[in-house]
Amino acid sequence: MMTAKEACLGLAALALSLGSSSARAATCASHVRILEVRQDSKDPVSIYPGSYEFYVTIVTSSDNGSRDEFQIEYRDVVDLFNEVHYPDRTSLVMMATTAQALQAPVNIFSSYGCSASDARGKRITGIEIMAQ
Amino acid sequence: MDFRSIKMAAIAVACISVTSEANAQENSVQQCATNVRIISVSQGPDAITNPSDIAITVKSTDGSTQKFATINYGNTALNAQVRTLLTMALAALSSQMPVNVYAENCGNTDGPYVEKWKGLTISAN
Repeated sequence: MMTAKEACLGLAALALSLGSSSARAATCASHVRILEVRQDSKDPVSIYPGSYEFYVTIVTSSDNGSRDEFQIEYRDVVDLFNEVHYPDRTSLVMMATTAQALQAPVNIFSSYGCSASDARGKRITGIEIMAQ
Repeated sequence: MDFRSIKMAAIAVACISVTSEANAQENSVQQCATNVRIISVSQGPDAITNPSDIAITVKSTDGSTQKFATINYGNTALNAQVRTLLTMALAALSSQMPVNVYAENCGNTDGPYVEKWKGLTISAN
């Protein structure tokens, strides 16, 4: 049977592992403007059979005029009864719409890396908005 | 009351006082910046411990800058208080109105960030 001390050590180890689980984020775009924020122009895509991931897409423009497109994954439906929301991504959508309205420069980050390696495109996990 | 009961009562009193102290610490805030402007709002860059932490950079009238983040809340994105801070920070960034910033302890830092940013006052010009 587990003693109180063992239980405490187990909890401490769990807390440490949770605390160190965050991935390092890469900077995918620096000092760009958000031209477009859209939902629903693309069908949901997923690389896992039987599940759907939903995105908000943002289109950015850099100082030299080049455009890029990024996805904010805010919702994941595993099946009809298992819907997962990502509140930290919903806050990114809020930040994106504010940055678009202000036309303020933004930096864009991703814990998944910046390359589009599958049908899901470039998924981003962070935004920084700078005042004009 | 036998010795065992007295001992149990003493432990219970000690536990209650520790809980009260923890609650008091949880609720207390210090004012770390006065009459500053928010020059950036971010979520998820490298320097922040948790990808869902929200951070702000503020600039004072003398040009010096300070960074604050919701570091060490745990599950920050699920925290209604943090979501409110984000809403307020975006409004203050947009309007460039002066703000006062509060944190649990102004001297508690994680890299460039003051930890546990907890409050904001936005004042009309």
